[in-house]
Amino acid sequence: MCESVIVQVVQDDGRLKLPVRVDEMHRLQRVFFTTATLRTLISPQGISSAIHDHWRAIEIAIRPPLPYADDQCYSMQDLLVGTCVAGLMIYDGQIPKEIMQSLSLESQPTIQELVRRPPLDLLRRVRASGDRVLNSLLNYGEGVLPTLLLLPDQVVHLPSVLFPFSLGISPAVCTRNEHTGLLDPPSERTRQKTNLMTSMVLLTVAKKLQDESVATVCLPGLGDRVNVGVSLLILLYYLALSLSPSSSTYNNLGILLCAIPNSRIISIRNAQGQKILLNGPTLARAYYQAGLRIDPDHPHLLTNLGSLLKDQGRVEEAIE
Amino acid sequence: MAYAYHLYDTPGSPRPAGLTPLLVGTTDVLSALSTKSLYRHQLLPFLSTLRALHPRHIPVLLLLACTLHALGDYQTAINLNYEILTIDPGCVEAMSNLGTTLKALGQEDQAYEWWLNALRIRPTYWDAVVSQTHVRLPSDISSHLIRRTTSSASSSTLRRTHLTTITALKLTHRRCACANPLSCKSYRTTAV
Repeated sequence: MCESVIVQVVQDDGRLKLPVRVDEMHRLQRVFFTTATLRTLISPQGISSAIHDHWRAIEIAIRPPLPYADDQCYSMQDLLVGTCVAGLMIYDGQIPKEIMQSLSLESQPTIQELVRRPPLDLLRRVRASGDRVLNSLLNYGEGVLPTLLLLPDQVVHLPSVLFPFSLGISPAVCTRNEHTGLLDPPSERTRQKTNLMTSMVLLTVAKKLQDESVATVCLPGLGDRVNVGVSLLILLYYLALSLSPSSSTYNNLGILLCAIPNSRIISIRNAQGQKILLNGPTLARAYYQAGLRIDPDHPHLLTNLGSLLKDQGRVEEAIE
Repeated sequence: MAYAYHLYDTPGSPRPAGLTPLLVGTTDVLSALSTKSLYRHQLLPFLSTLRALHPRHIPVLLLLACTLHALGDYQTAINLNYEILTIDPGCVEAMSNLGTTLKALGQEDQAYEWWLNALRIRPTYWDAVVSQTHVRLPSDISSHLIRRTTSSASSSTLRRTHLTTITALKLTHRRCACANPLSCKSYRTTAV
């Protein structure tokens, strides 16, 4: 039944065959989500097909309103690669040279020029650059996507970097203004419902991929080039969190960041311009604390932060 | 008085603070404000009057059928939905509502058929998609769709969970922004 609805409403390339109201877009996403859930319940081997359905649920939300050009037919690969590039821009302030080169297009302004002259249509540039950007990211990350260490207040900027023309709102739920051609935002309720749904799909995929039994799963649309690893999971969590922050997601991301080896240290500047050193556990603490700002009584956040402080030898604070 | 209290309590209306609008301890008036009581003593007579004036006006019949369902008068609600379908055989709202009422009577196969009929005509009728998914699946699988648990990998000795819920089956009202619902076809009351 779900497949029948999908076939009638959505083309194979993700374009809509029938109009779907922007305030009901999350319900179409839910049909994909339900399909994916059922596939894994019917057969554990259905994980690849299930992830494919999850990807499609997300792709619906990240594309502009119809009609759109082929180079705006964004896929999950484009979103993941775009998020990675956006993350590098946010935490380093600049994109590494080799990745910058992979984003270059003949007779087009360079990325440096576009960054200086916003808005930068990052997803479109990523898509137009094809597999080159993914390959350069994998090269930069030594075989896997680079592990981005972003602070909670940096993560919130991801949507506005990815979707600058809709001010960070999922483009699919915006309406193209017939006079200006610009995207008009939806109601706050529509924005929240779509973000919540997209976020839930991202978290569900992340949870599935955390299961060791699918560590070797071939990710649909990404071929065998992208391995399931912590860096990919972190990207999915960042995206989920940037769309719909919740204390549970801060908690789960904190746990994931704790798993990053202590040896991985980066130096960044905070909002006040001060230089700070970050590693996995330091970052995890920032996420636990951000989660506690939403829900100061969250028992898992409190106990996890306590455990982390204890591991860092700060027993007094851990007890508190 | 119940209607007066209902109007007084309507959200959004500025009510002066520090006043007591009810005699303390008057439980009979409070019970008169219950949804069922409001439906039975005010909405039902009101809709019946409208129906007498506009016997073939589908929005009135649709809302009346929903009100009857809410009051537990399933058989009359079903008959009314069939009547709507004789007026407009393509009324997907009546089909979906038939499904919901038949489901309430335990007639799940028939319910499924009506939801399917609605979806054949309007594949983007999400209420029917949700209802049908839940009625066709064993309860243990259905519960997976209602309540998703996303837990994270553990780093030390603690278990962490993330819970997301979707809307449970319930009756709800929807209407378009049209100034005159009686002249508007898209005014509808549907089951979610």
